[in-house]
Amino acid sequence: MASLGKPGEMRQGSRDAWGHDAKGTVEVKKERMNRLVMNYFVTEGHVDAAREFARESGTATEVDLDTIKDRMLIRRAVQRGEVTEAMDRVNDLNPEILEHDSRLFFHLQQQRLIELIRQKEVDKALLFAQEYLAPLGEENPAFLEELERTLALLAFEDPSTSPVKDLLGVQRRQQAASELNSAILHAQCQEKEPKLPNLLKLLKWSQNRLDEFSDAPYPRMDDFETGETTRSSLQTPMLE
Amino acid sequence: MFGSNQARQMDTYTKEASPSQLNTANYGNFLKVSKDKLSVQYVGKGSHSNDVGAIQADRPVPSDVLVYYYEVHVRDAGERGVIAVGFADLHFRLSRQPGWEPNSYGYHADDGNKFHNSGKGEEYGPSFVQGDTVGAGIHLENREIFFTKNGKKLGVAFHNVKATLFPTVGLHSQNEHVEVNFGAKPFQFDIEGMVAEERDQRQQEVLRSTIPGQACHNLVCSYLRHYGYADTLKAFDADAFAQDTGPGQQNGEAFGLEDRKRVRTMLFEGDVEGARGLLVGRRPQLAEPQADGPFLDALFHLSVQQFIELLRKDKVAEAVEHARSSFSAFQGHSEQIDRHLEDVLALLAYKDPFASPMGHLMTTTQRETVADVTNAAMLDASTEGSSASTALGGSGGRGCKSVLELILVQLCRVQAEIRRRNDNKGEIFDLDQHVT
Repeated sequence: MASLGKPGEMRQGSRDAWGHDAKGTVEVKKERMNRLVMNYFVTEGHVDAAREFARESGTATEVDLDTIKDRMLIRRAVQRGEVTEAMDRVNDLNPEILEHDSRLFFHLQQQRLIELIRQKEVDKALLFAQEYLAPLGEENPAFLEELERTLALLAFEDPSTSPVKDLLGVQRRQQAASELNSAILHAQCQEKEPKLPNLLKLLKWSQNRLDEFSDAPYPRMDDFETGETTRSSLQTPMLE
Repeated sequence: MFGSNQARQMDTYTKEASPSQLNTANYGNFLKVSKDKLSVQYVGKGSHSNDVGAIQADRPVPSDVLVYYYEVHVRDAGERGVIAVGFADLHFRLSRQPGWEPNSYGYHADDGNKFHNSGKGEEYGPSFVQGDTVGAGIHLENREIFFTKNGKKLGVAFHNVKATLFPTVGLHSQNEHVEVNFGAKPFQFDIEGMVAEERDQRQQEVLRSTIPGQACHNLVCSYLRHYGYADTLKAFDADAFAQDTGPGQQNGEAFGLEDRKRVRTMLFEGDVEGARGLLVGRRPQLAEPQADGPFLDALFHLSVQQFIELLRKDKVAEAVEHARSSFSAFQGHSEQIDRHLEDVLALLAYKDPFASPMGHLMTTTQRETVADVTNAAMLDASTEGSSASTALGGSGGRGCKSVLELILVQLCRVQAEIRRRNDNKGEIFDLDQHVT
């Protein structure tokens, strides 16, 4: 029994720099980061950025960029606010994509509604909501909630200063575009999940796992925009 | 940064060796081990409780796998069928059954019970007899031991397993005869399927984590800005309709994005003089290499790169002239610099430097490396004295690492820390698997 410890009896506060791997160093090669960025451009359908990045950084594009042209055109249509055009293009490509994904379908229809409201087409917006969105909302309470939130845009004189103004933002279009893009990717089985979001999720998951393991402190990173770590001032001497 | 061969070798990690055969140097009494060291037979009477003959594998369970597993096939259950399969540590007494002693774990044939640190077992699984195959596995990350019978998993037998263990088998009645499979032959149990399922489950868990919708987009933008990939940033912004383009030349920045992009482009095209010209134009004091400061590394690499570019153009005499006139300023600054100079000058020894052992210095990758070092120095200079480095969109300061790099380093460290707090057991995280 001697060498068997009790649970929770883990080494705490080692004086070594934390988190060094078996090789003793933590180093990330530039080439790997470039490949991650290229993978992001390719999977998200940013053809021009991929092409420029290949030229500027010398990173291989992984796939023939022409094969992602469809996705690029669909993405751009959503980002321009031309959701109907994007949905037509998707259906030309593979009608099953929208048929099988009710969440995605709802989000795109919701985006159409948002675009109508943006263009101040109030009558059309209401008709569209009643005819196409309300039936979807009946099937799913979460959809209904989102529909109600979207229609709230109509209640404000200036929706762009209202509490639901986020719906009119560029980011909203981008999110819809990304969601659609990833559905097409799945249907085409061309690429797996984009790697960059997966790595961010893995970091979040890993930090939670480490927290469960023991409460020994370590610099935790919660802000993925700045890369700042909490307790970093306290922990700095431990880093090399 | 210094693209030497040594740095490259650090990357290849060799996995620990697994048990491959029975340990014939030290095993219990009354045992006869076959020539191939994979079968063992009990040749005693087995009348006393201390007459057990136990034998272990030649090596311990490797610490760097997710799951370790081996199997035992019962050729003959002998007189009483009192065979035990399991794990035990190095100090295990070989006259005892695995499970009876501390730091030993066993699944026993006669009653199907599981044993740990006790002569009294607990109900666990079915008994096993002649013709059966039982397996024993350790899940190193969950610290669990499980057993299988004829290809079917019997569930977790023990939790919180920590010791370094060896596959261990005990025999205790006449004519008992077992054959051990350490993986040279296919297993009855689909261990690969189990591992794949584990990985899949974990991946699903990871995917359920949520990150801010714009996180990736912003991360990529700040990466492009950090390294001065201005054209890509422009194309990305145009495509993604991002609002936050950011001006090329920021207030208080000594070198703006446009400058950094131009330096990168020039270095990429082999125009080292042009790149240096831009630096000196902005900061005249850089004409003379300083003893210290953020530009020492950059100036050194630029100087070396100029030498390399001359060699690329087959201008050997000019290259030698350049080396003579400018390398001495850097000699003796650091061991790294001296070693790198040696590597670089070695290029002269080869008729075809591209095909030489130092050929990596002649590649585009090396140009990129030099561009990165120079870019880092320009960023450092831009944030000197300005505390508000985050105002630059995360492009400056912080040891001149891009946010993406900070995140990836954090991921590697957290993963390594998890393993360290698990007594250094479990798979070793390999970032490459997630990047390529």
